[in-house]
Amino acid sequence: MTLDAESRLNLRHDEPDVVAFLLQNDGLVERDDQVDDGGDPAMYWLAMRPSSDPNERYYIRLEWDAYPYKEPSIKFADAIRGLLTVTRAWPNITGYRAGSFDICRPMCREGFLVHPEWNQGSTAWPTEGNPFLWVVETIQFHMDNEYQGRAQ
Amino acid sequence: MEDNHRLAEIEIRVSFPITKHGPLKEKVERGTTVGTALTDAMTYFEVHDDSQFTYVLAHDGQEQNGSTTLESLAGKSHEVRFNLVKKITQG
Repeated sequence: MTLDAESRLNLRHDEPDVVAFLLQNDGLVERDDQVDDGGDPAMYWLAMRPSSDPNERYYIRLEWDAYPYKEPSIKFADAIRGLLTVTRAWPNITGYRAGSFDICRPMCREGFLVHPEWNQGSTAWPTEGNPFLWVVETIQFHMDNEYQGRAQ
Repeated sequence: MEDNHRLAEIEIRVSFPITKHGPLKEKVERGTTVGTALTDAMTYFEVHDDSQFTYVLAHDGQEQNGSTTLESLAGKSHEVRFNLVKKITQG
């Protein structure tokens, strides 16, 4: 994924709040080009856990193409830089569809593709403030309040 | 007298990432409910519920009931921190 210079700068600006939030929640975030030379600066890997099951770890790939103007792709993986097509990598949470490897909520590219009508009105992608942090906080909120175990 | 008044107050701080505003910080009575704090936060951040989603306050990651008092969340602390969460309905 090619990321324009403005998006790259905007992501760097908003990253520290995401790092701080995940540290508070026993998680972490790594930009792909920090994991490995030649990595993709548009891609971030998160490790997160539900508060009800702190021994579980979920790995999430966020991929941006125009930040903050467009929503990211959100996929669960079996490890940082792992496979994106593993059902058990997904949590059981309403709207998180392990069978089709997507989240059907107005917070990611996959959701807006299924529901283009979400581009209008109050469900439209938010571009003010720190949408990167919002996405991560929203996933954490779902894990802490709607988690029903690991998908099988 | 002034000290007693100060002890009866608690500071709330509400964060919301997708806004042009900074966090809401205000002092309120310790007996104030989460529901009242939520109303204050939604007014401050200029958001409102609609058919697609509702707003709730989360404390330590957990969604809070509107009838819970700030005092019960704070314990001996003089501050309670919340995140304002946009609860999105399923697609």
